[in-house]
Amino acid sequence: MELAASPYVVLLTLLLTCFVINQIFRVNKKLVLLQTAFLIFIFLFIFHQITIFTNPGLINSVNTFRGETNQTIFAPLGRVIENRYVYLSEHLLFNILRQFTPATYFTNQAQLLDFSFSPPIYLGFIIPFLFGLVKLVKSLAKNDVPKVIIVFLLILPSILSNNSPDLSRLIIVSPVIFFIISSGFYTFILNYKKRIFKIFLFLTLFLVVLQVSTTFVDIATREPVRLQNIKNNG
Amino acid sequence: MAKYIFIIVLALTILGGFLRFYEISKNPVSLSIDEVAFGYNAYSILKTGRDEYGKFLPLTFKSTGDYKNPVPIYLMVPSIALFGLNEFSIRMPTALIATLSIPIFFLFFMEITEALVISLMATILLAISPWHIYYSRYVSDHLIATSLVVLGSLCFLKMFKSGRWFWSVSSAFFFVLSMYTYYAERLFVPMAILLLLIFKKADLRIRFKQLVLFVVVCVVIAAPLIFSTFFGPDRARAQMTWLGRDVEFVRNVAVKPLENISALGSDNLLLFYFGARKYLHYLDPGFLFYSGLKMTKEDSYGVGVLYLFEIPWLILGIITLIKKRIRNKSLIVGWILIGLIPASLTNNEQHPGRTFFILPMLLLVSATGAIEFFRLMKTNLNHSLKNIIYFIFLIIIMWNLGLTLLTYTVHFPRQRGEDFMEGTKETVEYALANKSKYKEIVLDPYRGIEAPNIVSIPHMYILFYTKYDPAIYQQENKTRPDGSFGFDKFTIRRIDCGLG
Repeated sequence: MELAASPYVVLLTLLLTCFVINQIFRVNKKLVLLQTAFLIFIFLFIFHQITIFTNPGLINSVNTFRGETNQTIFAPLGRVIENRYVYLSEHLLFNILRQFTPATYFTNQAQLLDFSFSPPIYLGFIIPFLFGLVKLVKSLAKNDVPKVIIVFLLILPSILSNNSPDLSRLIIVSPVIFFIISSGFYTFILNYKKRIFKIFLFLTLFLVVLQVSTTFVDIATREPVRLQNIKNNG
Repeated sequence: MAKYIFIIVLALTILGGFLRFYEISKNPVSLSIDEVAFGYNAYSILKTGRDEYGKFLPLTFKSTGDYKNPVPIYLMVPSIALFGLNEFSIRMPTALIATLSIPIFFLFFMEITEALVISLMATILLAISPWHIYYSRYVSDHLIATSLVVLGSLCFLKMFKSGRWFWSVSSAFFFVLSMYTYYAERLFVPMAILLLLIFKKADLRIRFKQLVLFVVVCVVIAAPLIFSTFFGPDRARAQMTWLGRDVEFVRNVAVKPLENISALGSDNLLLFYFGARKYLHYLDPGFLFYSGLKMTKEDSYGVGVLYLFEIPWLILGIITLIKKRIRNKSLIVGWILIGLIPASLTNNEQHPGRTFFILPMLLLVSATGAIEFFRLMKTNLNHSLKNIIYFIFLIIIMWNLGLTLLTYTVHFPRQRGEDFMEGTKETVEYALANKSKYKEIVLDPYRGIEAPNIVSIPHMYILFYTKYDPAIYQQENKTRPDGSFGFDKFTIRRIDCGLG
């Protein structure tokens, strides 16, 4: 429900539709890039989605640091190093990096639908994902730069969120992740006769099936008790 | 050429030594609970040959009930004999080992990569590494253990190269010694040896005799440790830190009053996923680049285990490892992957000490990326554009180093003083100066403004700063008639101030 209600599902549908049309008409890569950027920026501005710098804690931290430094001989250095613009840039970089952390997608660090043990993507899929990623990096060439920029544009809404990494915004990058996972899976199936790939395929399937079952049992049994505990303890 | 390399490594060692020894007694601001406990036990060994409980030359120190490893304590004994019982003598052995580990790491990097430029770059990064400096400035069993692991691995690789018996014995000695230094090594070292063996599987037949000697020496030296781990007091320590006792896990999984949950939803299965999350969480940018060392308050940026300017180098290093033929690259990746396992099996939040042994390999990846970065600049950009990028990068490096300097010297002492029991020394000194005026001096073990439930061990600070005779302390009855703990005029118990 949480994800279905997200306006980013609409954006995702729009982007995928554009992608299909571009494929059919073989539109130039640079034009695709411009089109994607345009759609995402329009969306961000219309729906006032840039909330990254609204956290008052950020500015409070800078003030604390500056206050402490001003009491020392390093006060002039603090003015250059610890000003709010530098700190906000640091925060922006931090948000960018967090979008590329495996824990964001494959563990319950970012919980789906607020259930305690429900990751956005099941952990077992990390095996084909890593294989797919290595394959992708190996095949990257200079003319693939627009593709990399498109991926960056897709994670931009989540980067600009106060609550980053924001799963409801990261939904628009999910096709890329699923593509990488599929690419890894394809490698496993293609090399099925080699023992190591057979093991990887079996392990992936085993882990995914197991986690699906565990997650459902956990939601059915523990989640009501957790909710009650939260209510009781405030 | 060798002369120049020697001079560069020596200069880096001197620089590293300065960063590790400068004002070592004053920053961190005070001796932590562990440091005084380590220190007084070492003092007790020096004076009586026994620990604070009167046990003769123990291999596990019960201490505050956390069963400390022996190596850091025995290493302090000569230092205390030379400089007396004080902050410097306690911290000096760790700082010295950290400084000496710089050339050792260089040799290790050379042995792995056989690339001089990458090894030198990694050594430069080590000399100024915030992670290494942080753990070298107070008593750190993590750092000592990691240095021993690196030394053990270096000897192990040399054993395969030259086939000399000396390297077999040395390698076994250093590996096992690291396991007597820190608990995480007891899990990591066997895995690291297995990894190294996989790498050298082609040479296993040729070096079979040396390998047998290695195993025999390992088993002989490690026998008491193996016994203690499985049947002795060390089991208690393992149980204390086990992942299943993590507060978050207990709160979310071991929820009461649930019973008879099907096997698919069992606690153990969820524990596996919880451990996997911990494992992947160590690859979080917050830990790596922003606040991994926890030198500032929660939710604010401080210093990570790597510098921020290493971000592009690390990314480029990973890409280079994937795309190019780098010598022993699987060993580098494998070392990092197994290095995160011990920390993922323990409770509490991210712990930079428990993953410290991945530092050499992270530095190698970063150094590989740095060299690739300079190569790309040189081959792809024209002269002026290259200079502009170098200039911008230099400014970023200077800014980052400045930020780290401010964090170490200004914010860390102010924001994390409580973790190091700041003020306890002054309290004890005041109590000692006024001891004659009172019949009984009571100290409350619970302290702290930020966290009023931090349990301290004020008695250990009294013993430490009074240089209380260990022979008397071991013998005297320390239980008061009301059941509280005390000795001399000092009693340790909760003080009810009536403040609610």
